[in-house]
Amino acid sequence: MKHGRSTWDRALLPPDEFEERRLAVDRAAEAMGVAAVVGFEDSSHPGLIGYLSNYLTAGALATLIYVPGGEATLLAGLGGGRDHPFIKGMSVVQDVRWFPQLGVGIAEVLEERGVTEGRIALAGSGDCFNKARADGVLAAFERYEVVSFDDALDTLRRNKRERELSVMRATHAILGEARSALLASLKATGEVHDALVVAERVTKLRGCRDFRALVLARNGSLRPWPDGSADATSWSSDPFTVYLAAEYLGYWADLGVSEPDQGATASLCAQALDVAQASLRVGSSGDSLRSALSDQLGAAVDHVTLEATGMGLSLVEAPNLSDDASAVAREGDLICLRVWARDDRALKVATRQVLVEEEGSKPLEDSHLGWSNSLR
Amino acid sequence: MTQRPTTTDVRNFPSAGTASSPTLVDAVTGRQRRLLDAAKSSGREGVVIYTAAEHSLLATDGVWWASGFKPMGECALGIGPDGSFELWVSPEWDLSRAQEAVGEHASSVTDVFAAAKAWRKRMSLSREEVLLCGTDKISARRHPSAVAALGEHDGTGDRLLLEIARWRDEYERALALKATEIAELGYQRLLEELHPGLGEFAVVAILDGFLRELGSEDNFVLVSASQRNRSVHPPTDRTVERGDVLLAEISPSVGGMFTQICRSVTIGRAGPGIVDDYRLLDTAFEAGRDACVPGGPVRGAAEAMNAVLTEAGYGDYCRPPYMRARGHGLGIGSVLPGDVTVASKENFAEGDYFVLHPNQYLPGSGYLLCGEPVVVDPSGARLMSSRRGELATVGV
Repeated sequence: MKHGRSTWDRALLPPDEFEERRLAVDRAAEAMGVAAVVGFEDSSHPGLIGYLSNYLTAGALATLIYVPGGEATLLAGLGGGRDHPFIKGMSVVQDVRWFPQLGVGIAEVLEERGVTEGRIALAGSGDCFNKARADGVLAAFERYEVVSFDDALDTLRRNKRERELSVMRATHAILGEARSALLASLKATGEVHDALVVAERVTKLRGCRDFRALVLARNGSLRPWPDGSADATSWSSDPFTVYLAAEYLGYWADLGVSEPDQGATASLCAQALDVAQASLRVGSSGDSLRSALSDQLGAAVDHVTLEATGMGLSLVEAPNLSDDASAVAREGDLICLRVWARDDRALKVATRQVLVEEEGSKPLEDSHLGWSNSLR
Repeated sequence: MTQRPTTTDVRNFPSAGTASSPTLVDAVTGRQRRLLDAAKSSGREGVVIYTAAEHSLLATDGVWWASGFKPMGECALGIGPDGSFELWVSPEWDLSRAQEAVGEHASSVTDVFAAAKAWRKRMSLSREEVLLCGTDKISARRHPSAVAALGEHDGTGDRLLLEIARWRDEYERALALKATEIAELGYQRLLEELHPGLGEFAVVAILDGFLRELGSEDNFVLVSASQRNRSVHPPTDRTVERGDVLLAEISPSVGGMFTQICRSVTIGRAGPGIVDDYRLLDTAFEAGRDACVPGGPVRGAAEAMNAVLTEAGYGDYCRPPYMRARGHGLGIGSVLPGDVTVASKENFAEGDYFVLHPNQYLPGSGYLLCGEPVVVDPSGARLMSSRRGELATVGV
């Protein structure tokens, strides 16, 4: 797996976008009465740092210290500052530093910014630290009242800004090219592994950093590619399914690919996806979506698994309607609907990224058409 | 000076085989036994290894090491007092692959700590009798669940696992050897494809695809180019131009064993300054290699490399931000001996596998890469690569 952004299309994701995000964080911080927000990021949890600075770490933990209204400071790199010129090139934050003792370093920056007491908010500490390291960092914050910024950040990130949607459309378009290349290779050689190599290469030539695939094995199980994909079903003779996901400029898209001979299970998969989208609206929950599937599909619903989650800087992020019983859709949420439909031999997958509206939802691909039409 | 064995001595390892081959099963059985024996020596009766399935060049995965199964999600493995073991797997859809690796020992769970707790009770083990490995990988968010199942643990198991797994068995060496062969072939392909006008990320797209075709399941790759590199970093959209020096840390993984070769390529004829600076790093590499002996201090290798550079007048550049480390460990279960730095407190041990690289910035040429994977054997550090890298030139 590849993590971390290393290309930046400034036309698609201009630096001023991050100024607007900063103002959004300012408002959230003010509502919480916090004097500073400190975010942590590792390669699996982009959190506040990816959102606010554009820097996505490839490995080493990164920390962002932000006092509303001021300039942010990024503590990042493997140590010693060798990688700071690169990090500055990938981030709108130019104050990049490194401290051997993280908690002490954060406290030092906070003090430098005039925050010597009061309430500060942390984002990502629960996921990016083990207990011992979390305790070590928190020990440096004894003078502060520490609260969590995780929920506030989820609220900001689940409702994608227009620029984020544009990048996600671009990612989806690249993935579409990868699918075309995959199919062309399959038709030419029939070799799934080779075809996935071709598909991955297409995404990376377009600047994607991370590419993932699941393949269907002959025993009906899903396999991550390339690990354990030697027994993948073949394009020509078996029920064939591949799930693809790619990340471009930090933003994810995914899709499913099946053989052209669409049988009953593929039809069920497509139908379930349509039902889920038609049912998704403000206030929808995982339960309400499953009820809609049950009403519309009858007994066939037993063959269907629905995932309905947020997507953006992570492949799966808030809101997680399918796994979190308390989660409900809000207006403007970007939801990825993934339907898995299974029969005795086959497993089909279909995905669709949609935007939640008051009375329904619309596919991400279509969400910019109204804007284009209004220009005419 | 100790006479070095030839490279071919260490390249004659058995075939890596496949995930289900007897070779891996034998290796995994031996690893579990060694870890359980060590746990019992420290007063414990059973072992639980945890992983959050975060894989990278510098990270270990004890579950992968002890089972031969590469986790895709949170997993744990329990080894009972009698040597029996269970593998608790998430996500649910990955069970089939786990069962191919370890058979009926694998089961699908929604909470690995709940599974570990139930196992502990079936084994009649108290919390104190269980050695927990991988505590450093348990997030603060998951920590309460771990404590409820297995009690508080101080990281003793983490260090013990690193120590036990630092002896890379023959199966791991075979994987490392295969990965290194792939890295070298990948580098040859890079030289064939590289030309002015190609984007850094396009170079990596070509390289990544080729490494995949050869059997690498992952590749931690740093490729960057500049007229004067400040450091090496992930590929950007900068295009390669004549006069650039392209740096490539090529680090494919096979079966979880990463390797790394570090190469420098001039686009167009290399100037004499770069040739001289590269030769200096090459000399530093050999000096460091001489210091990699069992029982010897890791810092000794860093100091030996620094001494060569200091003698040439570059002592001020033997520190960050002009360099980071003179090498680092590679492995599935252990990355000991860790970073090769003057601050290291580790000693080399026989079987240590790591990359040795005096990579650094020099004022005349910028950052240059020069490094190979090595194994510490009784007579010194042996190369895992077939030959030492050289300063290469393309586009003349």
